[in-house]
Amino acid sequence: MAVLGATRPGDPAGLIDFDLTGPSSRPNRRRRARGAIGSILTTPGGTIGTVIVVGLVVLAIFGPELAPYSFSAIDVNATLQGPSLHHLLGTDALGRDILSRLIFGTRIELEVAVPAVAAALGAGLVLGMLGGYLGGLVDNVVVLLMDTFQSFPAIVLALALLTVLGPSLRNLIIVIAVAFTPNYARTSRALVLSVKQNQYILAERALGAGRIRIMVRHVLPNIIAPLFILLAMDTPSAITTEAGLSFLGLGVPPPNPSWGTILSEGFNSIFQAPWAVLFASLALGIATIGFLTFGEALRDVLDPRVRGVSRWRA
Amino acid sequence: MASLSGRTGVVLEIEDLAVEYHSRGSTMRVLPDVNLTLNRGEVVGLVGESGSGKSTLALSVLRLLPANGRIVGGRILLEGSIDIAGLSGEQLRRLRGRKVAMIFQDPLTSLNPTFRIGNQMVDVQIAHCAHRVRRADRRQFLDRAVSLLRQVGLPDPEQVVRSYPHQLSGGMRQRVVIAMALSLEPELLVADEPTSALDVTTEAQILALLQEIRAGRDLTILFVTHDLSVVAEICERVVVMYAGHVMEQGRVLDVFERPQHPYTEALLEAIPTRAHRGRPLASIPGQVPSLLGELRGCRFASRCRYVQEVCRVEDPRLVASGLSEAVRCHMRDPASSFDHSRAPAPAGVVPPA
Repeated sequence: MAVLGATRPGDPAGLIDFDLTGPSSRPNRRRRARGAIGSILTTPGGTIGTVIVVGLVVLAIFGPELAPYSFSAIDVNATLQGPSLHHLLGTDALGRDILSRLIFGTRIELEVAVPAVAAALGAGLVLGMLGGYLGGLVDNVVVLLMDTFQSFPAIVLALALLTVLGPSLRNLIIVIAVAFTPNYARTSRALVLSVKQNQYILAERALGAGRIRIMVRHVLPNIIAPLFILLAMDTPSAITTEAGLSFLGLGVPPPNPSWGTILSEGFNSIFQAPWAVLFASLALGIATIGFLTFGEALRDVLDPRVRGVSRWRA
Repeated sequence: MASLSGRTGVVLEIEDLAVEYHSRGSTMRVLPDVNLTLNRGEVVGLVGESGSGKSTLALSVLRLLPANGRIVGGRILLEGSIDIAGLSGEQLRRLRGRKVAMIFQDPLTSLNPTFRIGNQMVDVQIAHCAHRVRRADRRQFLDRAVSLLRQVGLPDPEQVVRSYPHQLSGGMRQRVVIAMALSLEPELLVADEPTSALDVTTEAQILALLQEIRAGRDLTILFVTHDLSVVAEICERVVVMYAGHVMEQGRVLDVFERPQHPYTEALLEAIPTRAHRGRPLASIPGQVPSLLGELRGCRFASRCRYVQEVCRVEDPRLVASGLSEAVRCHMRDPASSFDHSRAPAPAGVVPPA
């Protein structure tokens, strides 16, 4: 057989997905997608990450159906309670069910954090690739711009921008995206600089590929995998940034239960009833771990070099 | 960019090419004035040790010099009409691959690891497609990729097309690289040490393949190497470079049989043979001079066994000598003040007429 490794008898799934073969390729593509999810689930980290991320997404979508109470249902007879059968995670100072508020909050978190980091990734990628590949003046401008943004702490930058734009869900997303863009621009620029040195880039140029073709077709696929882990790492920090801004009153306006709002409100009564702070932090921690491990597993699957190795081992 | 020339004649003519590298304020003139002519259908070997400028010359032909390199003079004429040295970016892009293609030293890194072979080969053809690419075109490009892979002797090309580079061996990858280079039917193939990273058996196979392709397509090949035995194997003509200068050039048989330049002679002596068994390997003492700053006299003077005062002071001219087309050596130049009575006649070399 011409191909060394990677195929097992009866399972050429990873190879037959050549997507230029017209309509017949659709089942193959589906098979590859299933293969990718399958390989994520082969590692314990990938399984944990996937379960947590999928769980958060389910909570975000079906939150209203799953939550035992409304997020704003006040019960003056049951304030600052500990966990009980009625209120699994206790209640806050207004007697609102913390579990319900956290579940509703999941939607807000994902609604803000995911588009924000995705936008940051997109903007950062474009800036970083242009700077890294074209070099010269373009590169200097990109680096200067990113240095300027990064000289402020993300939260201060976000604070300043929010004060100008005014607090709203959309502005919150924009502000977090702007604050996270330099990170992606720098990382993708550094990755481009190293990928650019590869002989296949020179070989492509020698065959008449233009700059845009090389950037999109040859550089991008080789730098995207590390950026995915950054994306997964930044999703929880976008959540904390959102929480921080909500804490300062510039986030999602109450009574919407963002995790940051729950934290800041819980802070007022942390000595009488630490439950709100404890469980909100826990939610944040679990989300962080989930996105991190999911990101790592995703990277392993997206990188064909690593993928070949893991399948060989399996 | 239609070719008006027939199937014979000159494909590439390099005239007085000068290339400089800049680094931290200093300038290095890597190629001072190179002249070279490639006739259609011939394989020309470009040899020299590291730092002789052979790769720089090869990269100049496609204007692929690194960012700090610049062509500062001369012309690179393709088919007598196109001056590659003066082309704009887009003209250059369209010329690369279609008129002149290049293959590189290390087949392991010449292919994008995130691309399947087929997609990569299709992509090259799309880059040169004048009109909007439709699904039917892709289909056709893929068929062409498969047929090219078959032509370069890969078994089961339908399977190779679906593979990632890491699933192929070095020799297979170099075949893929060659197939890609041929996909747009170039006139000239620049091969920069295409077999150096391969083992000897694979090297022999790749050389045989290149020869077969050359014969079948009337392809002209500029073959850069430091391996004289490879030159003897596939080249008709050889150009020996040293420190940026062409030292000697001529037909391989002539040059290898009766080297006219002391450097060529020393290079040929350094090839280990069975007659040398048990003795230490021959080498040329000294090293390539630094190209920083002004150089006077023959660049090989410091390592030459026949060196005389004139060699250190005057630049030698390129002259025809013996059976070689051109030699850059005072010893071979009748007009030079080189004192032949003081120099021992090199073994096996006919003194100049």
